[in-house]
Amino acid sequence: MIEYAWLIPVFPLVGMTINGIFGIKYIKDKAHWVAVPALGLSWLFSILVFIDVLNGKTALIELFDWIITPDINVKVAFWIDQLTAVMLMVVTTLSFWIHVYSIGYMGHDPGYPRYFTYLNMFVFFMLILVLGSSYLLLFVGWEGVGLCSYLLIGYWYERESAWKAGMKAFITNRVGDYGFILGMFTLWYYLGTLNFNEVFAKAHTLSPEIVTIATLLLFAGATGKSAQIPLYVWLPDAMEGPTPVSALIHAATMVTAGVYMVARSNVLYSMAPLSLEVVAIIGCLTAFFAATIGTSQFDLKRVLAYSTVSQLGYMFFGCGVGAYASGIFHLMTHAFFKGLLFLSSGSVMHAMSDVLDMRLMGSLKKYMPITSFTFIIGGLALAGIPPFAGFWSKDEILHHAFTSGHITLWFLGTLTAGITAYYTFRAVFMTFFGRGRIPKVIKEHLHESPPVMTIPLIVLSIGAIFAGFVGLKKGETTYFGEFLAPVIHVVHHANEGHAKAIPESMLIALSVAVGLTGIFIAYIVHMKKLIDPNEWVKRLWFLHRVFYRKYWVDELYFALFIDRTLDLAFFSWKFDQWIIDGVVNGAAWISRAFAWITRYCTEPFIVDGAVNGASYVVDLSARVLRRVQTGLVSNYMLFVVAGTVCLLTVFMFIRLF
Amino acid sequence: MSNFLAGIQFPDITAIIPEVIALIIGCLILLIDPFIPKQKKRLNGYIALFGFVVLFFVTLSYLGKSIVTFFDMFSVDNFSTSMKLFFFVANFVVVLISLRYLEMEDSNLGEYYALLMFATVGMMVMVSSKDLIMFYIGLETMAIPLYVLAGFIRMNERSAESALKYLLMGVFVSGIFLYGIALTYGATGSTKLVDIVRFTYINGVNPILFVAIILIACGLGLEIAMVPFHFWAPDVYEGAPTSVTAFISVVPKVAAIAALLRVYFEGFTFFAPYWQTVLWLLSALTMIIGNVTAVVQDNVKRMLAYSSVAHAGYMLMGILSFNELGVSSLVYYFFAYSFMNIGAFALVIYLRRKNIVGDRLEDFRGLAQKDPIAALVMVVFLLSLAGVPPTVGFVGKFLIFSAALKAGFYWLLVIAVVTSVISLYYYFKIARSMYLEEPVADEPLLQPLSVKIAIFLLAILTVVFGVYPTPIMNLADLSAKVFFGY
Repeated sequence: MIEYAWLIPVFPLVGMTINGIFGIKYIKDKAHWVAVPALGLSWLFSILVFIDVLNGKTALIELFDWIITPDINVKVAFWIDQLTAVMLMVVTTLSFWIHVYSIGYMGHDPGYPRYFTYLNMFVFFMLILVLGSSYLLLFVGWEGVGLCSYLLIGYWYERESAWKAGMKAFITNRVGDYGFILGMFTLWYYLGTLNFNEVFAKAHTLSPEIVTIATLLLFAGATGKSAQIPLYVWLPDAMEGPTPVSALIHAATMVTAGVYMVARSNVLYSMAPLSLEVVAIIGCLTAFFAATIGTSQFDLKRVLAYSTVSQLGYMFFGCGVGAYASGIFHLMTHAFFKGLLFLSSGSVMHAMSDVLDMRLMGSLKKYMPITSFTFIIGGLALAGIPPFAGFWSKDEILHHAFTSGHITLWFLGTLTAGITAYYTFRAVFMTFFGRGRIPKVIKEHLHESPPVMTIPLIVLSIGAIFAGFVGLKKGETTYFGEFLAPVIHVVHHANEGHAKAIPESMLIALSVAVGLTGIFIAYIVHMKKLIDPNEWVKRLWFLHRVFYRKYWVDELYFALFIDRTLDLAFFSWKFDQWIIDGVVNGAAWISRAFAWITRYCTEPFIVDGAVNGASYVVDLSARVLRRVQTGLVSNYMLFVVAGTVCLLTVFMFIRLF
Repeated sequence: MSNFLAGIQFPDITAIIPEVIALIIGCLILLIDPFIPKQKKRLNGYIALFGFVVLFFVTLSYLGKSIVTFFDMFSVDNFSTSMKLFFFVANFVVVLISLRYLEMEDSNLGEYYALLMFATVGMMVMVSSKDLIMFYIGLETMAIPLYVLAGFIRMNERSAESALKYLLMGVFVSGIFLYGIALTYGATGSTKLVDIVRFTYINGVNPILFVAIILIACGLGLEIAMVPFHFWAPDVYEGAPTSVTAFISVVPKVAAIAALLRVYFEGFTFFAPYWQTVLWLLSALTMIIGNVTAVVQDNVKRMLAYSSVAHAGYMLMGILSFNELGVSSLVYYFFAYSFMNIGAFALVIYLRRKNIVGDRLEDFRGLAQKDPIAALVMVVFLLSLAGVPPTVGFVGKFLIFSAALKAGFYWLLVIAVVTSVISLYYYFKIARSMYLEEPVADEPLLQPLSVKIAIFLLAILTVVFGVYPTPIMNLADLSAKVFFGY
């Protein structure tokens, strides 16, 4: 089956084409009949390919030549190995169920076919991203998903906040992409190729400095796409898009592209210890800061958004300490439980008539039993409580951090796990339990979502419960790690001593205890109200304010970059207005004056401004040339003879001299 | 007697099988036409369609073969084979757009397709010949059916006028061509390209040949429609039936350019710097005058006539580069040009309806509202003609320009780029009128199926080969190897 893997992205491409061309006029509210089966087929093929890969097959499928010049030879080719197979499963599974969910969620939207066109397009580009056999093709997908993300964040473009968020996401990503492109150029310049297998085979010829620069630049791209410090600011705003989009693009798949890229480039990163260190520190700090912001937000989706940023930080943290397989493992489990959490919150939103403020919720468990059940499963997985999926992967990352000697980062990561558990269950308790604070108008319409939405929730919650079991121990490594072993070149830990000093079971017990503590605090604060949160807010007003205003990073960026850019634009505009326009206007004025003077001598020749001059010459000569076109054959013959004679004369002349 | 016969090599008949088949199909159409009732005349067209498909595949089997026969006068090589393949593809589409159009014009006669076949035979001979006399025979075999085709709508005054103009100009210019051949014969003692090149190699350059080179360019210049031999083109293009215009503006032009290329490359190889300068001047003039005059046209057929003059200028750049890339880019450009130019004329046919020819700019007004898909397809053709990616027109221009760059013709390149920019203006006059103006209430569009198929086919080819030019490029590279492969 593996040789048919190229069909996987073709299905969404076809779906997108059909919906894109015929959607608005003909298909209308039946758009899902095109989009969902297309994804179903992709999913099916992915499973078949995955089975092949499980049996040890890998493949390089060359489709066609893309750019061929003497210096550049770029083929469109797909590279399928264990890492690709995992990503394929994650992407197509999530995509399919979120497509199904969208049928219910987007049901009454007037832009229904447009929505499915974008969503299919997104899946297409995402699949190109994970299947591509070179950095260039990965970049095609990378930019493509960025475009789709922009289109879908601004899907409700009538809302100002939506299109602004779309712009923010796009522009922030471009900043990262700049680094990514430079990174590609660096590799290209020193290796002359961008194909993964060639780059990795030749990597040892590079000097350590070059590898460090290239990997740092590539990571800059990843910080944009995967919302890490300093470019994470776009992701919380991206929640303006429809909730299934948040689940698919801004939680499960696209934002993890950076992690995929780093894991894919593990050969390069392992050669550059400095880059790895940067990745680990940035990842860990992002995880920590985003988690602290998450504790203070009241918008349900924003809590989840910061949690996504934080969890992406974990994944980079994992990669940064050399545990690429654990990073990818966390990517996979996170895709399930965070997709589930988002879809559940979408279900809440659907019932609550688009209200997302948790202060207006509570006691929803009574009204929406399935949704609250799935949300709690997702929450347990996110909080890292065994045996749910998040526990296995998060713990593996922390364990690797510890054994590789990053004690400070390990401590910060464990602390973050506690904070994560706290804000997750803060959201759970505020939303589903306690006293109902729901406004009356909304309460009348409150209902559980239809099966088309709850079935995907149930499927994903199964994933959120069981996906972690592939991370069970198998000797030195885990089942998942063993599967990915052919792709990942493990870094040997510099400091194995700690692993011996504290047994792994202790670490696990500690992180579970921290998680349970977080839940317990949330329970007593937000459920039992034994501690009045408002009082603590007053007491820790400074900390709360810092968290609530998100460390003023947005304001800082505005002050540093955006306002300065606007200043520059304003200056250019004024420069244009005064200096350039002045020159043009002056020229126009002179020519007008000139025209005014000559007007009475040569009536038809009024030069109307300097700019019109060029087109005037063309026009005039065309008129003269048209005059030649008399329509008389004898004239034409004359021109032919005259032309021939002229040619002969001119070229005889040239010959003689 | 037997000794005499032994000295003569019997010609290899297999070389001309495609020509013979085309001739037979033409005669067949003429023969069965009287037995077809008036309302079923379309059958002739289907025979022609089928014929071109058969010819295509027969000729395809010649790809890679190299035969020189009929006493070195006739050559089958990859260049001639790919040119023939080009004729069949282009003619296939021309027939497709003619089927319904002729019925609308009430001139649906079998001769039309037979004449098309005969003209095709002439062109096939032209691209295969290695002898100036053979060139001339091919040229005339092609030209005479064209005169008739131009006047095919007999009851229409303008059609008749354009046929007469075309005939008079054609006869006149073929005289110049013959004069060029006569001078060549006088100077070298042969009309065979092989002998000419051998003679000039041994005896050095002969001043008479300088004159002959110019006269041959002038003689072929009429069909190429290069300045100053282009004056007939707008008049004939406007008056002739639109399907014939689509044909004349593409296929004979390409045949003449291919012939000129072969004569210059194989016959006057040692005169290369000289004819390069001649063509430099002609190409520059053609691009400038073609594009500039097109700006003020308000009849779409006339505008496209000038645009096709301009494109002839671009194609001449391919010859005068005199390098391998030049030939292969030229062959690619032929295909590209046929897709987009026939496509644009097919849109004019698409707009043909009761009392409306469809060639005025007003006829395109508001087409985007009346028939958005047709308008979109027209935009594709216009973009391609203007050379905007991702279309064949872009790739073609890009290749030709890089060939000229490689050969070092920088100033010509500057002219080509500037005139390309001008061309954008008049092409988008059509687009503007389709998208930004309100439609006029008049006769509804007929939307004939065969024309629809043709324009979609062409639009798809225009885009697909613009994105993925490799198949045509492979063919083009094979053709270029004929001249530079060793």
